[in-house]
Amino acid sequence: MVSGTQGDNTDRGLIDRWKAGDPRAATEIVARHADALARFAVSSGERREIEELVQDTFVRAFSSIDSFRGESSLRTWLFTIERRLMLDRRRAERRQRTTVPVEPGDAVTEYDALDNLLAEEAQSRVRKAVDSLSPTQREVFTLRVEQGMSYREIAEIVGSTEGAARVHYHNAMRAVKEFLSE
Amino acid sequence: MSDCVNNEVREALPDLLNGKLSALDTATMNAHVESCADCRAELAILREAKSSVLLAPAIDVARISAAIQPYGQVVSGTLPARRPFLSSMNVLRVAAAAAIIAIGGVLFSSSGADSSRAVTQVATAPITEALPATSVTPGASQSAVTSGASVKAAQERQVAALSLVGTTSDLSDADLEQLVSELDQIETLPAAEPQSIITTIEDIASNEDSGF
Repeated sequence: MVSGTQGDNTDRGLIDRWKAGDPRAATEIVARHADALARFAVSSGERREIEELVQDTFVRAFSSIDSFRGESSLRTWLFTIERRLMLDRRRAERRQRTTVPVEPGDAVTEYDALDNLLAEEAQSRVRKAVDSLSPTQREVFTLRVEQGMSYREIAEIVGSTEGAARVHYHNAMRAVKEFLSE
Repeated sequence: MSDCVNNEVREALPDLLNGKLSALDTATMNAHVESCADCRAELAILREAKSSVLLAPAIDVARISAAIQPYGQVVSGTLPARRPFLSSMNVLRVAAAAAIIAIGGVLFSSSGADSSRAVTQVATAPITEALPATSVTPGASQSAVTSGASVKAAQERQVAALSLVGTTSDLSDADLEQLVSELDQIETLPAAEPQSIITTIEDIASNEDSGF
């Protein structure tokens, strides 16, 4: 492994600088990937505490940075961590729903208000079509279309194979088209 | 809405959208899209999908950066002080599990000949076990005046009655952590809240009063 130098602004170089005691390197990594993580969370159906989710992702990533071997890109690794946190969060919410009644105001969130600001009707319809996909299809579609990831990267994040990711994408695309033609 | 028959081009549409193609491939793709209505329609959908998520909330980079501990000062694989190992819910679950096992032990022992003493054994046995052999507890005072053989038989009954409880109290930290982890996986556990256990004890007392 090549150690990062002061001028090395690759993710690997920034990690090495952070490990050497430069906190600005961590800030640069966060600035570089935070928005993508937030968009992935929203696209995956998260509506509450997006920033907390992104923060937890970075905290967990930096706390176990030695397990990042650089075999995938840092962003792919961060997405993998965020996805696991989202699954944990959903499991916890499912358990809570068995004991805690949902209050009428709980469903109204800040992001719901933002949803209403979607200016274009076409965007809104496509968003509804994507939201109607199964969780796995939506994840794969989001990673492929909105994040521009390869099937290999997607397979790594969702824990499947490239072939399965490709099938999920095409099934998702077909479902979106069907939704829009209804 | 139909699909373009050129699967290779369709596969590359998301890459075209995200600028992941070389200049040559981009030019080739653009030429195809211009002449293919199906690909134009599909690319338009992809573009709408991509632009419709731009309203993700703004992220405070400084706040997140401040939450990151310096290298070497963090515990690997954990989040800082957000989920203590024994949260109140986990304590309740461990207590519920221990109580269920204890009640199970009582019911198991009460199915034998001396069912009327089962609950008393639960209350007195830990004290008896903790004290030296020469000590006499109030619950054991009657046994103390009986023959040595009957005292030994009574102790054996107490040990048998609490044999299940004894194994759980002997759990190591690692075993306890595994137990909590496994309890976390049990979706139906909230149905066994401590409140229902109290009801079970009352039921047992009621059964004893009625002669069962």
